[in-house]
Amino acid sequence: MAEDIKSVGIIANPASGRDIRRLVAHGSVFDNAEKVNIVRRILLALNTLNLDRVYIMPDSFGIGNEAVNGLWGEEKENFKLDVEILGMTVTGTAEDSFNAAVLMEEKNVDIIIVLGGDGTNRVVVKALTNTPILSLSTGTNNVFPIMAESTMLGLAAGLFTKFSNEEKEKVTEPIKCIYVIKDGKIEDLALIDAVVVNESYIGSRALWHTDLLEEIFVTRSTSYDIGMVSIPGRLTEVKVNEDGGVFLKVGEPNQKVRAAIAPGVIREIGVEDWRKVEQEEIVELPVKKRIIALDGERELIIKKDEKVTMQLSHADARFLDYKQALKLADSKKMLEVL
Amino acid sequence: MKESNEELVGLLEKMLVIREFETTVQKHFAEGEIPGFVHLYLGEEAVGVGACSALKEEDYITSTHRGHGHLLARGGDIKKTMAEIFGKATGYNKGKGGSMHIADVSLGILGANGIVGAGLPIAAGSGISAQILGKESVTICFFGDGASNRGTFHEAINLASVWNLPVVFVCENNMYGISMPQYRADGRKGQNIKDVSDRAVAYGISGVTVDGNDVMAVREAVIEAVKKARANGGPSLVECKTYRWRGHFEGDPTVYRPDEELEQWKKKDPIDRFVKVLKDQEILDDEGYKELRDKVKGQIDEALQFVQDSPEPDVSEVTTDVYYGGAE
Repeated sequence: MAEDIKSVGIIANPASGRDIRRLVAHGSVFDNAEKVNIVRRILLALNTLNLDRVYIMPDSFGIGNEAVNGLWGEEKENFKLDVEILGMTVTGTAEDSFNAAVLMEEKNVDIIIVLGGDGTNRVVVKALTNTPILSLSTGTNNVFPIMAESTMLGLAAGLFTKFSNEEKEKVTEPIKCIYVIKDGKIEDLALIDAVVVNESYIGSRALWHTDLLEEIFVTRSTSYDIGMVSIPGRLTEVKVNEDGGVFLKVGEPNQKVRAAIAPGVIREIGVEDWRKVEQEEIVELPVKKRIIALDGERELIIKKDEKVTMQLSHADARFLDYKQALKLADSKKMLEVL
Repeated sequence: MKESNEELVGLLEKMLVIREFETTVQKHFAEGEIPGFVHLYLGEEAVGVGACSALKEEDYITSTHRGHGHLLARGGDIKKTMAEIFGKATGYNKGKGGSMHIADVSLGILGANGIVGAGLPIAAGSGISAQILGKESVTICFFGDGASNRGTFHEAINLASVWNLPVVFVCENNMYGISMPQYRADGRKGQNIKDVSDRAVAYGISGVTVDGNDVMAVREAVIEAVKKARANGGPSLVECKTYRWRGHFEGDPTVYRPDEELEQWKKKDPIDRFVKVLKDQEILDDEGYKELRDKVKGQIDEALQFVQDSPEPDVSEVTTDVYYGGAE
């Protein structure tokens, strides 16, 4: 019989928060020293909950080791957590987040905490089949991960490991996604938006030339989120926790909206047409050579005769509502000191 | 920004010129035909080409001792560059500067430099000059990860920041300052940060990190930084992660780095990657690529012939141009 180990995985992307959007927009800076700090706060929270193990993705900066090595005095003496840096090759690319997620799932972690932006989360979700995640924003145009104090996320994740399966289901939400299907095969997915752009190359990945935007497909459409969702967000609402999405064509304006496409960057965008998309609906794209950006980053090169469709669906992983988890834990008096 | 197909192929051509040029220099240096030292730019072509493609004629660059690539990317004459490296009288500096001092002021190139980090204050000076003279010129300052530990880096960026100078600091982080790894999580390292762009925050300027082996990523970032500098938005720091294929200098046995590391980086060859993009987008086909390589090979062969036909500087010239106004 498999050992009943309560464990948490941590994937902290060392590259998030420093791309070109600090030049073309006013994106905040997350240096790796701050990521070490954030991970340390998560570990200190987990340490109080007698967890069996924490697995951390290795990276070329050594965020995990630095987080532990930086402890001193009483905190160090009281730190009993078994922290294991995963044994895997570090490539310095998004592949690392993917491979770490696969390894963590193999090790049956109860939950993975992700530090990064929409892009990092996209890669992690792609890798998972049933492990829930909890994501903290350390990127730029973030819609998917939350902004919160990492100590609270550490507590929530640690308590989550001790919940029953029914309770786990209750405090997690499904994750909507858009599958990009090229010539009949799933090529990739987006968690928030898949955008067709009239570009020839991936380059610095970010999207800021609004004159090159063509089609925008989103899993949510809200008045208050930043990035591409801000465009349909002006016209209609589809919430994160309800089925459906929006498909919008940019072009000769029937309507013009003012959208916040990046931190500090508000642009007027011409909307030729838009419609709501049903959950599981497949949308066909015109056949032409284009670039598809996923969650704000140019990602896929589409050749002129490749047929691409997109399907609004659900990813296999679920997302932890950390506030619900903490409330449930309190209702069960899990943090009560006897 | 939407570049024309010609512009995109032009970027590839520039990278091919640098690749062929440096490979030729490597060969002739090994055969003992080149005096002094050479520090090759092989593997880093996308940084120089991407960055210089963002500049206008009236702009400036300062370079490093790995400067052949910068000069060629800025449009330097291949023959004069080759002749200088071979120490010929027809070279850019009449054969007396050699690899580390090549300059073409007419192209706004304020010199390669034999001292690590010495280009940084020159770039700040160039920025001040543009500001005082009311010119719209922007200066790109190329420097390495090792140079970012020198006092000159901190002084120049601080000054550029407080005086809002039109300078774009382009860090070519090729992972090593001579033999010292820039950052290694578990060993020797020259810095306790992995991204040199982190240092921008300390001086109140924008800092970004881009894939230095992707010519379009470099170009896009530097275009934006140049635009900002030209509009009185002040300096920026663009860190380009790249890797030098050869040692620090020719003859360096590179015992300080594993062979596998080099092999991994060769898989990210900036030229192969860009060729794939152009082919995928049907901007270039196999035949067009072959023609381009043949054209570049022809230019380098011509430059070698020019070198062979050129005299060495006369002994009587030994002090000419060494002192301002000549030696009395």
